[in-house]
Amino acid sequence: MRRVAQLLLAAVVVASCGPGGQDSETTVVFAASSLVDVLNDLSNDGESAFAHAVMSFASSASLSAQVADGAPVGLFVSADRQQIDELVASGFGMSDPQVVARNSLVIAVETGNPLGIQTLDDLTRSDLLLAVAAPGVPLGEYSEAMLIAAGVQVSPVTFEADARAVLGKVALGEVDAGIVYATDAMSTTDVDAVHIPEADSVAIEYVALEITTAPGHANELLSELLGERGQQVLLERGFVLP
Amino acid sequence: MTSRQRHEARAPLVLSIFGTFAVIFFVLPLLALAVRVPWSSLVDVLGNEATTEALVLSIMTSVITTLIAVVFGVPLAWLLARSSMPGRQTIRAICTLSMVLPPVVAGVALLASLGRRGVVGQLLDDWIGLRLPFTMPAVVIAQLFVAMPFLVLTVESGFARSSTAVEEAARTLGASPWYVFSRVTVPATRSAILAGAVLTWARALGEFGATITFAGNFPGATRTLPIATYLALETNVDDALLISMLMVILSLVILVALRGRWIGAIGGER
Repeated sequence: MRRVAQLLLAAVVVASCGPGGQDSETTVVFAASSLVDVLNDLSNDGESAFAHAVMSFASSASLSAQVADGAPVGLFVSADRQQIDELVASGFGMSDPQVVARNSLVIAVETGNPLGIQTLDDLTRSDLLLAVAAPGVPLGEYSEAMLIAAGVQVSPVTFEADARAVLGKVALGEVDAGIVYATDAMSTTDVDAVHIPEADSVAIEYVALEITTAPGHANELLSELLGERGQQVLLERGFVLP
Repeated sequence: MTSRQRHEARAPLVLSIFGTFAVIFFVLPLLALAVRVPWSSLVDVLGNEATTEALVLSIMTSVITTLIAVVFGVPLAWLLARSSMPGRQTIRAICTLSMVLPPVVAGVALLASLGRRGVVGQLLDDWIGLRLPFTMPAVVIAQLFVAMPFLVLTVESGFARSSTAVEEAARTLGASPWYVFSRVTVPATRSAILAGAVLTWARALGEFGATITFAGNFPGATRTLPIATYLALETNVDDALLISMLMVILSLVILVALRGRWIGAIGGER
């Protein structure tokens, strides 16, 4: 009972120090939602600096807005380079931004690929139902850029709100194919991923920036992410190394 | 009316305080929305083809949904209220479950039944080549699934409350069951039917989760106003605010216009 009380007290003390704040023990990490599995894998290891960090995942756009509003963040890993550049321009960067990983686009198809989809051109087949992400959300923008660069004209039946929604439609068999991030296709056994060379035409970079607001152990965290262990987990989760 | 006024005069302070907080809770977000809306670009957004397309689709599908809900929901409500059908409690629970389900779950359930790989959907595809997902009928089905219970429950309580004396008199005079229903029961409960239809329409108009899950998002076919609003949040917050305000005004106008009948049916007094 006493032990529980002590733990509770510790929790209250930590909480009242605020995430980050002046407390040098915990560092707040903001990361794009697609990194949730990677950072959770890292933090499951008690030795990892991430085990002692407070992590928050959301879309890069909303996290970036919070950093710009002065949220007490130490490390921000964004899926969008432009937001990082804007934060650097506003003086939030402790050091230069660093690319920690890359992602690419793949065609998600039903397990076993019954329709034998091999190339981007196969998506133009008239008997094929295709789902893509809506223009406006990052995945939708990347998909559109890739299709335009490849000169492939498709007629999707639906424009989904995010990568997970596209993946769901493929996994449930409602569409025959969907364009998603390679990491999302790897996250489930319900779909197979068809890799396409045209994906190289879009650069999807995850860029990390140490933030001046509440740096804490940000440097240590970034080193771990760029180090052997961090890069190994990123590879396991389907990312491409920088 | 006098009894109601006496009641108001006696309202305990604590009820007034808590009740006022409840009012603020509902008014504040609407007010904040109205303040933040960039009214100057109203004309631009309304003139935007994508918005008008979504608006037209939303109004069309929600009206069709309401009509179908009345055609099937009123008979169901009558069976629940008046018949001696066995297992009525269970049937009522099942038929109104979608009201409390998370809409996305409702959408997944519809895919599991009517989707291309669904239990029934697969048969429809094999037999007549009919595929519902990603079509306008799918939008109506999604809306109907989550919104019809509002009609059923409202009309059922209307049937349960209305006196059966006139119906019995009509039967004694030789009227057929259908004549009694259409000429006596329905006119006596029309305010409940109207209230139920309005609730259903409002819920259908705002439907998002089941629609995007079951019907997807395609301009002109399945992109309704709520879906357009959600996607606009990612790209253009001003547009999202304006479309939200459009929906608020649309719903408010209808609810206020029908207020008298609404309260009459729900509150049991006029």
